[in-house]
Amino acid sequence: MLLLIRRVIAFCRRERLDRELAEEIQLHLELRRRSLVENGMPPADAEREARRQFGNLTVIRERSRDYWGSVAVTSFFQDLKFGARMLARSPGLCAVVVLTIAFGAGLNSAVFLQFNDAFLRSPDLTNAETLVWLDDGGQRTGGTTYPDYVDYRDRVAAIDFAAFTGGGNRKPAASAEAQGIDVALASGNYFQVLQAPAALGRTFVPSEDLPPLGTAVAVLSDGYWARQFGRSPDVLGRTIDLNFKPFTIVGVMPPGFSGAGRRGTTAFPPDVWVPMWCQPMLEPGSNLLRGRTMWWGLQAIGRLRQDAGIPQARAQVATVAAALDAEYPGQRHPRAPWVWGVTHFDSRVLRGEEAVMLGIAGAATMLVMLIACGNVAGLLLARAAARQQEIAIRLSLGASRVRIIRQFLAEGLTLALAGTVFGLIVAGWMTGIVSGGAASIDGRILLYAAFLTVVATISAGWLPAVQASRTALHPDMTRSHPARIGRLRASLVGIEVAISLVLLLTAALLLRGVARANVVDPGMPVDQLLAISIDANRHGYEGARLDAMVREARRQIESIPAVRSTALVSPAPFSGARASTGVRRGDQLDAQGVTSFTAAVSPEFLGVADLPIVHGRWLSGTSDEEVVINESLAARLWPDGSPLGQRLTTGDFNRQSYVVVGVARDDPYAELRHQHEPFLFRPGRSGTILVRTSGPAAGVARSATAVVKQLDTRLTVSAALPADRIAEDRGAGRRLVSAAAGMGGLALLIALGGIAAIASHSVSLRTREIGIRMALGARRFDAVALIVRRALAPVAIGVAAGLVIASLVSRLLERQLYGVSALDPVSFTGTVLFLFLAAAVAAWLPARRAARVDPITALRHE
Amino acid sequence: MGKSQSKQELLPGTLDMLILKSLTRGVMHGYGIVEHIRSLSDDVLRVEEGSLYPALQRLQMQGLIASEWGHSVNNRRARYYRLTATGRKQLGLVESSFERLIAAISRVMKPARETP
Repeated sequence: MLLLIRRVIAFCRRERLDRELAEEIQLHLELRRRSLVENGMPPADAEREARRQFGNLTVIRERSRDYWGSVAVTSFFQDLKFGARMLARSPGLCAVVVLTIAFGAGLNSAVFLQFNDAFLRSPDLTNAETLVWLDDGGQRTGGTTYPDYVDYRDRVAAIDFAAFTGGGNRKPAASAEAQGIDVALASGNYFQVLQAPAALGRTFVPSEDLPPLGTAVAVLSDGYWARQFGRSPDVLGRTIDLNFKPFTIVGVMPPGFSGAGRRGTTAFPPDVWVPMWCQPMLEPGSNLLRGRTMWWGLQAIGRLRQDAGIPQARAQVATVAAALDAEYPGQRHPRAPWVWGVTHFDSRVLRGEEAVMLGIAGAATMLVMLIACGNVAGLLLARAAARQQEIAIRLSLGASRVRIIRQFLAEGLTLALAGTVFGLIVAGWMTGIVSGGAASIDGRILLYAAFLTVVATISAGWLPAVQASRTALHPDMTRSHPARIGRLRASLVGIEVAISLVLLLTAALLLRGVARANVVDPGMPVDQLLAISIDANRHGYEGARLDAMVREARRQIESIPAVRSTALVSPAPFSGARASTGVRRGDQLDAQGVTSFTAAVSPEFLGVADLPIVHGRWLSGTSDEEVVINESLAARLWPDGSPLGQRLTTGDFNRQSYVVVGVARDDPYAELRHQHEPFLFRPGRSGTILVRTSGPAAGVARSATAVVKQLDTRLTVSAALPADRIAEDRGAGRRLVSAAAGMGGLALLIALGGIAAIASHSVSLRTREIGIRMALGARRFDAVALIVRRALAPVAIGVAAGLVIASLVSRLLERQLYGVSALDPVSFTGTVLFLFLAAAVAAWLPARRAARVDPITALRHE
Repeated sequence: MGKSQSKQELLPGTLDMLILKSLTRGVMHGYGIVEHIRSLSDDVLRVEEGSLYPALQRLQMQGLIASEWGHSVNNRRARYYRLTATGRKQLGLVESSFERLIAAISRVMKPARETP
């Protein structure tokens, strides 16, 4: 440490030290000269003799300077300058290297930009350092339930909690407005807690949100205000219709305000905020504000009260959680809640599928980066080999090996820096295109880019550097070591091939998944299905009145000529909503239950959905104790024996007992990808009206909502098409495939570049050998085959390694595969064959040069 | 680089020790140190004069010696080096390990000389 400080001080005073050293040496020479003269040497000879005895002045001054550190710095700049000059001599190579690094770094930065925006950037909120998130630890999506939120709000003294949801695109099918409005729910104190005043008018007051009661008010975002009202100031007091309910506009938020934003997603401002109590109004037929086991994207954010710290807040939240566990036994799962500052990154937020996808994307892009670096290393290795003569000369003139390594790393750094900067620009451009939002550059991203630069410098520059520094000082300085460098390059290509194979296989598997999704038979005639939701319970319909109203609504709908039949189902198939429950065998009540998707259906569902029953019969409609399960659930519960007539219970808390009367074919009843997931149909007489039409369902939507509306004009009736949801689902899969295929394709491209470079290099190295072989009668084909065979050896090893890795990794993708096996033989063989073919072509192109070798010229060459 | 048959080259690492030892006699400038080593070793040990200066810089950086500017006999500015407390301690360590080394080497060499 002390040494370091002395060095720094010395470095700052280096010019003075340099002068002093010169003076000191001058004195030394002078004294020596005098002593020689005194001993009888002629003055002219004495001068020379003094210098001779002293030794090499420059070397000695250089070595002295070493101790005050200036050499390290100045020589670093010399290295950079020299490196830049050397690189300028091969602009083609430089361009390839910089582009390759730029590609890897660009892809990485793009993913990091997304990650940074979603998880690391501190939200753009007033006094964000005193804001905290609450995650009640209940479900993979984070957030909390409404009743629990209320309890935390009322009982945790250290924090003022507010609740909100992300904007959901609520598109009332029967609404006149073509575009849906993005509506977010916010508790009455939301804007107070965020300390966000309105730019125009006011925000909510807590008394406007007292679920289940409240006032229908709305606060607009600046964007929506500009779009819909042209920034008209008299918008206050006007009403907007959401699901046919008038909401009074009380305020407009300032331009920069986008709300707290759901954790883990980029915050886009919703169009409109309405109070929390309006949830059942906006999503008719559901009340998500009740129930302590219902997670639906409700998030809780809190403001630490003065003098309260995070540890204190955590302790209080934990106490309340324990109290809730005790107060509601059997109504909620015990949970371990967690509180952390919104400006902090907490790894606990990385849960669920988002985290998996992000992890896969991050790993994949890192792999691409490594491939890119591997290729660059290969190119630079070849260059290092070509520069052995230069290096040998430098070594023999006294340059240390460390200095040579430094020289190469400086060159690597120059290239890596150029590549990363270029990549960063590309990344900004890419994210702009992908997300449409501007992901801005901040300190963290620059830091990450610096990290990438170091990764690139070391991974691309280290091997060539070390290799070059090993250059032996043979008397004959032109000797090189093609064998060793060739082996290094070959192993790099092997690694690249392995990585590309993993990425390509991912793409292939996902592609198979999408293909499967496209041909997966939804089982039911989705094009002839229409889901009608009515918010009857919002208008005082209850019990028998509600049943009568729904019955009448169904009668009206069935009277439409194009309608064949209707059924009640909750949740509706392909609606995005899913219900699941734990299921246990009646004779194994203490066993770990099987988690199964479920729907409560009326008996007519069989006809509406064309449900295929494979064993037993369908629900009779006269008993509430019957269930029909699908083949997967049957196999899980009764692996050896018939489930018919057996008893089972559902629910983890409010257990209910049923008798299995039938088994339905494995079909995707809720989502395409769930074809082989356990499913259970139980009797129900409420929920969405599922309509089976004789023609395309879309044509009936308007008339079906209209006839229901006639029953009671206050009702909000919405129609959804399951076919839309399926199309959306398939589209999402396609996007995933194109992302994976794009990445895999580019990775392969880089790897092929590496293979071609190797083949091309080995043609130049073996020109003489080929010449001899040809002179001895080898055919041109043999020459080409020799080169291709050599180039493909590392490919084979890479493929083998890649297969092992891929078979371990592909399991993570299972959920996206729609039932295709993670070890799908078609994808595996196809990808391997494709890769080999591509590699062979990549090697063959440069290898053709071998066929043109003229034995005479080749032999005369050396 | 000035090599001469009659002069003994220094064992690696011994230059530092010789400098430190010389400075136990008091403050000296660079030329003085060279001359001191040479005269005490009866001209056998010959420091390559130039290499003294980097060594002096190094020892100074390590805090084993310190320097200040003064005036030499004939009134020229000269840098005088002196031993620091740390330097003195270091010298003690180096000296004893060096003695052990010399003793070990001579034990090995002696029988070889007696056999013929």
